[in-house]
Amino acid sequence: MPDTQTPVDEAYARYEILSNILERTRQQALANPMHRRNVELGLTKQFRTKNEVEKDIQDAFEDLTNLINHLAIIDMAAAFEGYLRPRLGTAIGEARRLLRENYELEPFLQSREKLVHETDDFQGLARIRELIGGQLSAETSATLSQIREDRNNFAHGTNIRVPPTTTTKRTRETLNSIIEVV
Amino acid sequence: MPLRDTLNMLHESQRREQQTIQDRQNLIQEWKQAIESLYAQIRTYLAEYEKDSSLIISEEGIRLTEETLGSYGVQTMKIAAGPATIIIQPIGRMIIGAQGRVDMHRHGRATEQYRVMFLRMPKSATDATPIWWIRLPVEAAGTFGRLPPQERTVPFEKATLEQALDFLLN
Repeated sequence: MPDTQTPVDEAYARYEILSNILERTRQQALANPMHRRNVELGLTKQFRTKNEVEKDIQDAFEDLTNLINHLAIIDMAAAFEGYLRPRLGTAIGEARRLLRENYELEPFLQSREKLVHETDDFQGLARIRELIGGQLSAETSATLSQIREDRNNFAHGTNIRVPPTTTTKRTRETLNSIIEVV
Repeated sequence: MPLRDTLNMLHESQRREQQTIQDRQNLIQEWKQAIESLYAQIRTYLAEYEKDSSLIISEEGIRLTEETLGSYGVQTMKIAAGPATIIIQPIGRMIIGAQGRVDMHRHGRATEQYRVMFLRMPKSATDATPIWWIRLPVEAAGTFGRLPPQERTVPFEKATLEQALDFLLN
């Protein structure tokens, strides 16, 4: 992979590999639906007719496609948070330094560093959005909210048959555009 | 290409096509005989119930279509037990893991959980002669006391047929 890739791109590349493997396997399964391999892989069950097998295979791959779309968004969001975390740490350190050097007012002189957040306070996409929302376009900000909701919904038990509200491609573009801003 | 080669190629192609048609017809014929043999065995096993009119057995023709075999006629069997009717219907010769499948369900309860399958499979690991087996739905497997729930395919015998029918009629 080229050095210019962001961690979000790397997560997207993993998704593409998985997606290609899935598509190849789907084509292979449908090219010879009655092959025992399809039973061994759990794509269908024993003693089914060709029509039943084809439907089983289509249903299984529809679920798997939805699953990797959900997983790709989770992976990209995690990569994005992981990328921002050390940068937030640096920014907070710098803010503290400025505070130490320039803030001399009472009554908070002794506790002046507590006026600045901890890195842990910015865990999660919602807090990141709050922090840098002013620098984002309305569209990017809205998509970031969608990404956050998709991730939370899936983690908290969304039906696998319900696809994410954002596409993996849009997720990648949006998170990368935020990385550029930050 | 010389004319002789072209003609040979055309004749060979025609011969292969006729062979395919013949193979298909043989397969259908063999499959229809297997179904007839299954029905005859069912009637034998249920003779005592048919004799005292507890069960009324009838057959009627339907057409099955399979991608590799085309369309062909087969018989379905109906077993009337008072207000309930059991339908025994061939599903197909080309089945993954078997050489034919015939389903048995109670009229109005055709879902998978209430479907008993007759499967044509090798007699044993060492004898490839196909014989009929009964595969029970998960719900029924527990009623066959001697079987663990995962072993749902049992030999087709009078006792297993009666137990399968009892499950469907209850």
